[in-house]
Amino acid sequence: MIRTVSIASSILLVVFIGVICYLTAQFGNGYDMPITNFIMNPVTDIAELARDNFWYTMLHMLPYFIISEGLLIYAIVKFKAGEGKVASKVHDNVLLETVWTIIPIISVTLIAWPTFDILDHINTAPKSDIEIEVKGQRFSFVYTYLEHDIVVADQTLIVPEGKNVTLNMTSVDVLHAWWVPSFGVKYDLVPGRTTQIWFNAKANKKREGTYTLPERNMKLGAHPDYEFYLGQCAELCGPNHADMMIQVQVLPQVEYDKWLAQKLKEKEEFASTF
Amino acid sequence: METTTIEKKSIGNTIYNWAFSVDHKKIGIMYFVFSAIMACIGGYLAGIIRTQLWSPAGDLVSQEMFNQATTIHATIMIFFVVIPAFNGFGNFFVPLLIGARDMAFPRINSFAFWLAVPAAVLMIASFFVEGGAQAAGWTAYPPLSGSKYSAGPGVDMWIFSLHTIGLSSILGAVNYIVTILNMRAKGMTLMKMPLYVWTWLVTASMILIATPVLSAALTMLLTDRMFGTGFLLTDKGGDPLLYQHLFWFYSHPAVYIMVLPGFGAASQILASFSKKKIFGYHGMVYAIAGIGVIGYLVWAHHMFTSGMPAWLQVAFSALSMCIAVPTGVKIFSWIATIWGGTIRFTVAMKMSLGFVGMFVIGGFGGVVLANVPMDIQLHDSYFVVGHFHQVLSSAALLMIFASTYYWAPKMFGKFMSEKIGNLVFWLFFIGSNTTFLSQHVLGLLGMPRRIANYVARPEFKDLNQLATIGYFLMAIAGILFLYDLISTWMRKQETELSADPWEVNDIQETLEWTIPSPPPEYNFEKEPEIK
Repeated sequence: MIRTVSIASSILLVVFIGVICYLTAQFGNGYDMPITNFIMNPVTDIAELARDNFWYTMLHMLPYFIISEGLLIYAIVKFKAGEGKVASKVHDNVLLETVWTIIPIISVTLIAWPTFDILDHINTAPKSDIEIEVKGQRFSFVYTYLEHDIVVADQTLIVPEGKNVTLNMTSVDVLHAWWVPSFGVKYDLVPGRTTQIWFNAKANKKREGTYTLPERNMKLGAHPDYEFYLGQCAELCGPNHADMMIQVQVLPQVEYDKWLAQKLKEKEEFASTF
Repeated sequence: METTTIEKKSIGNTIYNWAFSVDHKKIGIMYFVFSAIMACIGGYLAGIIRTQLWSPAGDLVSQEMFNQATTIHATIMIFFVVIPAFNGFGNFFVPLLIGARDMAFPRINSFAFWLAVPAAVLMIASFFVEGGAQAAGWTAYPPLSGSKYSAGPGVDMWIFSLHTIGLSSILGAVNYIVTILNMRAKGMTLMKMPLYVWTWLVTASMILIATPVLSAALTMLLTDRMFGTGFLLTDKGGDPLLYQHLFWFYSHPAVYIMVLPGFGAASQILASFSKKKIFGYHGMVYAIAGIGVIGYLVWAHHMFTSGMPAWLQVAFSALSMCIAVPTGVKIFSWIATIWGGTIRFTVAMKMSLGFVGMFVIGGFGGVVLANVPMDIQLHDSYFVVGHFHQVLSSAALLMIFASTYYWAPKMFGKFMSEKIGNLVFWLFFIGSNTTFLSQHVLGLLGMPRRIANYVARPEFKDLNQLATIGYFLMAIAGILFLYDLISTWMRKQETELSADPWEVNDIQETLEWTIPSPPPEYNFEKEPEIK
């Protein structure tokens, strides 16, 4: 009976893992959502570097996975106690132990090595083309385009493609974090200090189908033909943390100029009402 | 045989004997029972979380309540389930394994246990005060956990509860260290100690050094909240990042505190049921010590996106990668231990093998997170949640179950049920892999953690539902485990078990299997001598 339970359970485990893989592969289909993650849809060079580094790391860990899980399963099958079986008395082997200490040191170095250059790239903001001030508050982000003094509160952040965008971020209350997975950027917003991130994104035309984002918190003030990238606050900030959404749209320069002109016009009209 | 008039044992007598006991064995069992009770509450809170996250717009509870649930679930599981449960086995078996009569300080031992009880009461009571329990995450970062954004006594009760259980931990640690260093039987040099004792020596050292730092962080938070100090508040000249550094200086070693005893138990169990000595004993000792030391040097890998200079990111990243090496040594040694052995697939053995298989995957997640560009993508996402649950549910929870099945004959004088134990193992193993592997994927796909709903991201639904199914499998496993515990306790044992009921001591040669099951109060008739 125990054997039946074990076999049934092994099958069940394989089934569950299979289902996880299937669901991952199906991810996003049928929901008409922007596919927003750095693996499937990287839009900045940082995100692409992160995606490549992710697969590089996975590749380096794969032999260890195969060897350890493989040997474990093999041992379980091969060394079951039985009639006439005698246990080995070997309980050390200096060569083996040295090898399995040194080789992982090499592997870990190989895995870590390329990450420092990527980190340097992430941390070194190039000459900024557009500076945007981000204020985090409970529970929305307020963006101010410094050059034009345009404020976009809790709406889609629109940026032109191919330009270095710098975000200078701070919080007016508690810790928040700005995270857009497709852009490969995330950083905390800390009250009393300014943190900075930068990115340079590509514009992509929107996928077939319509995005139907929920009404709550999402006001679409942008171009209908280009992809949106979703993000969220990534540092618990209180009861409505789950509602603190981020939406960014990258437009080709021409469309961005049109949007900017529209915004400047709105600003003038508003100012003239006083 | 002489017959004496035996005093009829009343309930009051029994309670007195247990409550006022300074016997490490009774205290160990009390810690274990305490953790089992708290596990029901911790598990229940996890149920609220997973049920809410079944659907994108889940509204089983309010967002405020959800944040309380995630916070207190974590706090209870860490401080009131895993650490006390291992403490239960540590208290019972460390003196036995070194041939000692009791711990070095039996009364402090009892005091430390009884500190845990009011700590637990405070923690649970915090749900019922105005404002509810602490809801800023078990990490309780200010300013969210400060008086402005978390008014009400919930956070203060949480802090006092942790101070209390922290003191309990520290006193216990002193006991372990002094006992292990001073009370080993004649002939038992440090390099002849069972690996389980080594893991406790290192764990206790970590508890002793790191916990006071947590207390410091919590005290600053408390005085900022109650007395208007400005340690952690920017408008008073303080810095929220100070809290983060101090908190993680404890909390990273804390995770090793939670897994090292599990590693020790695995070494004992895997060797016992393969009829082999542990492979590479010396390497294992250095690996345990290595994990203990490096564990102190990596804390800021929890803060890569918080606001730190680039050179510090590089340093912590490199050090965090280093921990993979001693951990790898242990995994390979465990596999080499069972290699060529004759494996008996008892429940404890299956669980230990399951632990090794799961921990490898959890370890890979750790290597991914140690690398800063990756961490920038994955910090505060479900990848982290999946990672730490994968390592903890294997090295901590599964090994707590395994330790129970392995050592029950010694502790209670009865075997637990292998039949129920098999169900517990398979349900828990399948459930935890289902839930936590799904969460690794969810994190990669961009789902943040600590969100009460994912209305705007309905594409996360399928994997969340799979994760919830896994939870319910684990919950059933937990209930079956408790059922097995209780029915074992209530079962009458007709024939007394031998000193070595598993018949492992011809190869194992550890002292707990040389004395009766359960042991007499004095443990050893004659002080053992080790050749």
